[in-house]
Amino acid sequence: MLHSWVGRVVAICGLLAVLFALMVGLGAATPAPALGDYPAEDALAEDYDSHVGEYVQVTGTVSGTSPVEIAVEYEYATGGERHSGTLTVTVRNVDRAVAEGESLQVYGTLGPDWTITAENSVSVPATNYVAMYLVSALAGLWTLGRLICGWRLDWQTGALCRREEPLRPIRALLTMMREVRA
Amino acid sequence: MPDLLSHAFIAFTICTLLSLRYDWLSGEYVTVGMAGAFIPDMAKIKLLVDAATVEATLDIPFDWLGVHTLGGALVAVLVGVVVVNRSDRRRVFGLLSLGATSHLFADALLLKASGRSYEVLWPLTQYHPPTPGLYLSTDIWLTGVTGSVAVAAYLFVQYRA
Repeated sequence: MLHSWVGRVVAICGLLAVLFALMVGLGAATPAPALGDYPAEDALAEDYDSHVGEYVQVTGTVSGTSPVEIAVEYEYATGGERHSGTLTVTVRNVDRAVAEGESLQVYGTLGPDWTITAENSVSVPATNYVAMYLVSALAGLWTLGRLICGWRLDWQTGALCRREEPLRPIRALLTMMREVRA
Repeated sequence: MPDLLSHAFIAFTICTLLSLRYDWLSGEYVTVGMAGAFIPDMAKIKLLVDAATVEATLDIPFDWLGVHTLGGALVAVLVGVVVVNRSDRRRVFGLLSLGATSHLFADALLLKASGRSYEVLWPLTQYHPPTPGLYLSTDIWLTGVTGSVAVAAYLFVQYRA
């Protein structure tokens, strides 16, 4: 077992099914404030009234400063239909200066008519997400490059094997340049 | 930490330092540890297909973050173990687990307004452990710090060799 293409593919399909089941299980979990799992954006959008009086943790973009208002994006599905959009929530008791456009995470008590009385808030500077994704892609290329240089696919068995002679593209390039110069 | 580079630097540093102790831990195996650090962030598929779309299509509950937990990461690690040959399985299991654990641990220290982290131990428990809140997910300085430490570890190990 597990030494052929078929064995590996069957095993991987089985593992992916388990992974899928774990994701379904997590999706089915409802907020549990006693465990520190507070209702968030999607729970508020789906059923606001059942969470009034509870502690919630919500992140949104500041859209007004007096009073502080945040625009909260949500997405959820019920009955096979996807719902998404933006809610506007008024935040009371924010103990810091906030600027429009910044991202604010608020922890506090949910009141009726779309208000949260903040206990604590964290402002997250608006960063350049494009730059962040580029940096992450760089990490991916670095690791993928190392993987290709150090490992190869055995087409007979479908296994990843360590190369006996790892590829050294940079060293090879330097040697080539030196030879050209000589 | 949203930028994967920090996570890759952390895994690189740990594996490189471990190579001082374990002779078999060559550069190829360091790469396996780094690959492990990518596992939890497979949840970022949600940027392409969000969970609500999956839920609506299949009409069942769903959350991509399942892979960003102990149980989900473990199953993903086992996929990596199946792909390699028997002689490499134990090492690959250890290194992928190490990389994935370092990622989950670093993310459990993120600053949250509620002071509570995420369901890192799922499916064992839904408990969100308290977080010391050491950094924000958007802190760039962290990439600089983890990168400098990674370079220092690399140079140190080269020097020792």
